Amino acid sequence: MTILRVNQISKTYRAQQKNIQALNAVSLSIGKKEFVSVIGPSGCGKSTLLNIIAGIERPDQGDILYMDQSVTGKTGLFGYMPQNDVLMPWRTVLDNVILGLELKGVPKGEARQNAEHYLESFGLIGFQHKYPGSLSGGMRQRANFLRTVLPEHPLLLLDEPFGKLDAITRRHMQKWLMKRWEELQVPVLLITHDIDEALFLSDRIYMMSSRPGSIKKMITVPFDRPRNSEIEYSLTFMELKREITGLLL
Amino acid sequence: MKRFANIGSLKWISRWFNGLLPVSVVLMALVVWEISVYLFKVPAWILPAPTKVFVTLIQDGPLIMYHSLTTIKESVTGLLLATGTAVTLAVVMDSSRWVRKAFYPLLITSQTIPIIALAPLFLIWFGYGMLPKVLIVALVCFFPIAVNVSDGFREVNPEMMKLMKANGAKGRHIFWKVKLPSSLPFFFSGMRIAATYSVMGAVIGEWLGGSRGLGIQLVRAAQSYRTDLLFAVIVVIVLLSLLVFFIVEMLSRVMMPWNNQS
Ligand SMILES: Nc1ncnc2c1ncn2[C@@H]1O[C@H](COP(=O)(O)OP(=O)(O)OP(=O)(O)O)[C@@H](O)[C@H]1O
Ligand SMILES: [Mg+2]
Repeated sequence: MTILRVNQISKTYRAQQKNIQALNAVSLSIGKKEFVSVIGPSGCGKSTLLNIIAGIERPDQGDILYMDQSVTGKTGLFGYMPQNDVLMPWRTVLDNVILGLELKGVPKGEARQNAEHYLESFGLIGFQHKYPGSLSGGMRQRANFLRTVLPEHPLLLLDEPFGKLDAITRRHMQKWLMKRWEELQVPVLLITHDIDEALFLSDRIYMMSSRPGSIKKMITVPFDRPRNSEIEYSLTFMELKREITGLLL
Repeated sequence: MKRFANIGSLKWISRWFNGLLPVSVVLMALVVWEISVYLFKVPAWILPAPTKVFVTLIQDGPLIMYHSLTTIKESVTGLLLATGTAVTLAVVMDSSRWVRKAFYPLLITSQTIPIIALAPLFLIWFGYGMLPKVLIVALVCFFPIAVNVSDGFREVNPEMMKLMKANGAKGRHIFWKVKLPSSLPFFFSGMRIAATYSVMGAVIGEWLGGSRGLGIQLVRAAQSYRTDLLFAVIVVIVLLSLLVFFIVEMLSRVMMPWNNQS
């Protein structure tokens, strides 16, 4: 069953001198409990697409349908994790992760109590009363992710959550995200430019062309769940990787 | 472990050293001053020796204190008044692009009006009491706070704004949860400048007329060639300015605890 449908989205930015077309008739869909990735070269409009789904930017053409209803330009519906980690330096880790709940109108005390349950599995225990300035990159992203998850939105939009982490931490975080996702049972739209990451985590992958971004191809990833990192050494993985690499380059 | 301990104590020593450096320079200058005054037999009404100034500071202490209280009252009231109006104006300017466009140039221009010319005007309008002095202090302190806070509101992390909007935040949420806290460092850099100006503003106001305050005492000391008293009052003005600065500094640590955690 499809819960989100992106329908023929086009977007052009009007800069002073010239117009930049970021997206050209992009369509995709996300099913209930599905993990979908969008992969594409830098600057192809991936963040723009995510911002449009999140409702903070408006498309020139096309619309966003959630449960067959238009939600184009509507905010507050989905969990959104921006490309750069934005923890507020003036809030403790605990108060940062409850931001989404707070904005939904949940009283602070209740929100904090709710968040406490997740600290363990998000590897943040002992750091909840610290300011984010003292966290490592991996921890910061886990806190960012917890903030995205807590309000229990029906869909999570993640913009290159591990893009800035070192290779080893990224690997850990991918496995960790897989576990969390299997527990949470919530559909995810993940933006990435890491082919291994997309193959390891996703049920389906949309490949975007360079600017103006359009969907080049959709690939279904056949591995069963729960997955482990062994799949990365399988022939299917290699073949899919070759196919995607060929299409993106 | 041992190496760490050594580095720790080294840091501690260097911090003390950094603090002692300016103090020792001042002490040295005072010694040279003291010796020169005796050596060249400079008359006290031209340049009193530091020890003489110190004695005056003690002897005339009660009187200096009496005048200081007025100056402190004016400085603090003026600074608070400036803070209130400056923050209000910054918030109003932030509420719409047009208001900002209308007010920002005026704000900059207002700073070019010479205070020394305005002060007598204030005396004519508001008499010789505390009010004109408070207004002068407020005028001097207003600008650095208003400009800093206003700039602070504009320097908000755009990704943070995206995050807030994506979560369905309204304007007031964005203001209270993002703009206000993220402009605090800007507010305090404005406050630090304003704090050092505040006592000086009050003294300039008093200088032009009135019956109480360090500015008055400066004028009287000069008129009666009490150069030692003049120096004593200057010392007090410097100390008061530093005190106001220190209070602002403490306040900034209390209000921005996230800056202290290493
Ligand atoms: N607000 C804007 N105004 C003008 N141009 C913009 C704006 N936002 C994005 N663009 C342009 O649109 C194009 C797509 O940007 P976008 O951030 O969506 O790319 P991206 O695929 O997310 O890139 P990256 O992988 O580097 O994050 C880029 O060329 C960018 O310069
Ligand atoms: Mg991007």
